[in-house]
Amino acid sequence: MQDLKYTLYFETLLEEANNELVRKAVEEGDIALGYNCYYIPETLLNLPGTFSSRLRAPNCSQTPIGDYYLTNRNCPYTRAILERAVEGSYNYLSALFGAEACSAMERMEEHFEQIAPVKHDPFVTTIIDAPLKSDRAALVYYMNELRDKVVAKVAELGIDTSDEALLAAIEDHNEVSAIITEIGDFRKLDNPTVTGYEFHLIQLVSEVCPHRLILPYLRETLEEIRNRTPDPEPAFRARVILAGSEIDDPEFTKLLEFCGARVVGDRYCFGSVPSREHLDVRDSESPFEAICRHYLETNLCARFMSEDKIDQRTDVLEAMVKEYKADGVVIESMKFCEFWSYDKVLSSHILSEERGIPTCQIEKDYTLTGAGQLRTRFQAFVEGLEIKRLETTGKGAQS
Amino acid sequence: MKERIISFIDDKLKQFDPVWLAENGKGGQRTRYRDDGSGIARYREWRGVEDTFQDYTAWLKNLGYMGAMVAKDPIKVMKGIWEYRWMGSFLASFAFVDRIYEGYRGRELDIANIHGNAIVRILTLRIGLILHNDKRLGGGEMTDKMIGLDETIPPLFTAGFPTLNAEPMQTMPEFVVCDVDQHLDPYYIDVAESYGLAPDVCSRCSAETGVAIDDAFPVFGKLVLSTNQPCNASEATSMFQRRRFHQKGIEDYPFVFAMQHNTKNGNEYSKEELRQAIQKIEEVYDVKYDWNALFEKAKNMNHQNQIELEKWEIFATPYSPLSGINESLYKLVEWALVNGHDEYFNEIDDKVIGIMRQAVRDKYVPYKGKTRHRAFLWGPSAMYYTDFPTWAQNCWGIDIVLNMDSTMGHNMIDTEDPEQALEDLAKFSEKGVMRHHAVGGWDNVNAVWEWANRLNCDMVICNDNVACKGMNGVHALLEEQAQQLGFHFVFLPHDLEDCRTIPRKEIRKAINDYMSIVMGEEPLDATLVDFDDAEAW
Repeated sequence: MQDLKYTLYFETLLEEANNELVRKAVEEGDIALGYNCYYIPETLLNLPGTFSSRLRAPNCSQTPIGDYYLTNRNCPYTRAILERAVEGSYNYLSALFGAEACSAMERMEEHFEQIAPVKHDPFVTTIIDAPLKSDRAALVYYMNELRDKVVAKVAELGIDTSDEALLAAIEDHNEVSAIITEIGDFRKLDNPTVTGYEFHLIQLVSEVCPHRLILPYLRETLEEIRNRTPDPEPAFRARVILAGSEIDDPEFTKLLEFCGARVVGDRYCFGSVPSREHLDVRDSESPFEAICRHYLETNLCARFMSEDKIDQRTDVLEAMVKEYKADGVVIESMKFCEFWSYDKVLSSHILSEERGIPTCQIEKDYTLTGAGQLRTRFQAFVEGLEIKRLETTGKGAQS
Repeated sequence: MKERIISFIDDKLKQFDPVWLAENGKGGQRTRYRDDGSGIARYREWRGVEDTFQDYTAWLKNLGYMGAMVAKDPIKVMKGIWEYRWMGSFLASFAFVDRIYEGYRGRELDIANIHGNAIVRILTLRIGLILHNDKRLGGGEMTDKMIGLDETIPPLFTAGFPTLNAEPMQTMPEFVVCDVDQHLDPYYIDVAESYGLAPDVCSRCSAETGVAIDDAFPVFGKLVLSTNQPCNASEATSMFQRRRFHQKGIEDYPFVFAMQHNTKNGNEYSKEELRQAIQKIEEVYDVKYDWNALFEKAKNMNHQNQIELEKWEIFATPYSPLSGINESLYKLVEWALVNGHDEYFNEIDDKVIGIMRQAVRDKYVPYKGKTRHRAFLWGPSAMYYTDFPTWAQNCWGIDIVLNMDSTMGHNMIDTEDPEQALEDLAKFSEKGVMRHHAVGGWDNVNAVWEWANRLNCDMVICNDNVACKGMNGVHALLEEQAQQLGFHFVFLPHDLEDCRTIPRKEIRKAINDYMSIVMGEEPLDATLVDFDDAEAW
């Protein structure tokens, strides 16, 4: 397929956290609000006059400062973020809203307060306690935490947090989500007109750039994909869903696709599932409650303990396999991640042994070190999927 | 006349007393051990006539408790040993008790044996009860009236169900037994890792997962309450465990607590969770919560906590004959396992606080006045090296005045108003094992200096569980704080329940290096500086 018009531009935007659009928005007076985790609703940070910035640490291959503060036995994502913070990469932020979703993340976010690496005035850091269930008590707790530690702090920055402002944020969320979802749906085609790598780029820029500035590019890209002519023959050997933790490096998706796979579904922390679902405001619900409920309901974090949420993780993957006609699932966990270490093993067992879906488990660093080993694993998995298809249908490459 | 005879015998047999040997440069604690790393002593520690007699009496009492457990239901106990790998490890209990109170004399030994007997008593009672009612071994009259609790859920609230019996699921197969035998949990860890679990997760939870995969949990009750206490790995391992429980026909209910337990929002949430957990038990067992029954046991807990607060005052003086593992192990069992349910522990507390008060009145100096440093032990300790504080005292004169886990929930619980009791219980329960100061924000961890100051400590030893992501995340901040505040500060690396990653010898080396290189001190007992106990229980 012909390259998308903005592929290179999107790649450039993802080269650094304080990218061209972020700088432009800040220069124009918008307030940048940072966050790391889906437990912090992006929608609450995209109020009129503010924009959300999900923190990444692109090209961070060494983390000596992160290692010093958090030890080298800790989550490499958190170490990389702290490293970049100390280097000054996030000096455009007015706040970091953290979530005690996992210890590593929480400790890293605490350092934003303890060692004050972000040189911006004002700069505030708060950390919510994130619920582990999805029942009413958990929702009330979640709402109380978000109200006190996010909305109240945003208001202190002089931002309108009224219902009208929240409704505008919901509208913005739904517009971005509708575009991303439609783009993502092209991955369901037998011969998809968007690659997993391209989609990963598009999804990421929607998370790290101010929506008002990235939306024109997203709209144009959607139009381009609608009219895109696919390759005459699919250039992949198997369709896979990629699941896991903080995968914010599109090169990882590219690596998987170079091994013969086509990533047709993304169910990981920076992915579109969850994050790009339509947000409804139900009758008798305030916009704030709707946002909190939506994010609690759609959250697929591996830390949830209630039965419905545990089942939801594998149910969603199984549904995606069917919807996107995937041949298998690749489940990633980052080194030193407690939650995904467990969930990777368990989900893999459930999917492969109980639901008959081939899975490949891999563990990786934050950066793409060990790419050679990963390539070998992916090639073997893709080959396995291909052989399985040959055995069942007699057909090799996807048709 | 009696004193003269005792003094004569003590003088004649002093060459068997390791403390005397160390004092006189003729040997020490390791002299009586075999040199093969097995940790097997050639003869029992000679402590002088009176202390040896007292210690031997306590040993016999422990033997009596164990005999009583077997005599009560010999077939189930034998079946249990046959069925469960972990049961075999409890046979090392005698060596364990001897090891943790090594070098103790006088009032330290008096309290140690009172505590040791209480611990063995309660453990044998609970093991006997579990085996007797284990469905796998045939079941018993209480089988369907038992509630399985995650071991880190404080069980006090279950006192409101006097017709039911709540037992911790993991304590016997994985937790306490690791104190007794360091070689058991690596087996379960290997089971979990061979199933695919990453080796860098917390070894305690990895071992629990291994127990679940190996199908080595006892089977009882209709409901298990899992929890997020104390941290991430606990939440994660419950996913595996619940599948095993479901397979056995036991329902799982996640009873979670606010991670940030010092906030108003968090307390309210924990209170609501507690209310729901009670409702769940009522539904599953078709019983009604009895607040008066709770209040009765809450009074026990309040009594224990009142004594605990007084103990802390005495810990701040140089006259406390209670410290080290003697303090922390008893506290752990009394708080996490008994939690007000057993009046016998009130009697023990009364007896011990009496000895401590007298020690203060007498200006009694423990450990023969050999203490050089008073240390606060921070962070969760290595389960496979329970006798570390004893070693630190005997080798370097470091008195572990208090352990982080001994600061667990100590607020009083209302014994009249159910709503207030619920709120108090929620606050109390949130501050559980390995949790009160290890999670919930930097301020909780940073409280160490306040504790150390309050107890007149000059040293902080910080357990450095290599797989604990939360405590790893405050490494540099703690070190910088120690430097600023002028405390002697040592990180003590360990892998919680996997003795292979960082063996006991390496843990000791961290202290040896600090004491010899940084502090420039000589050991009290040279035989304890470098020895091999890799193969010991």
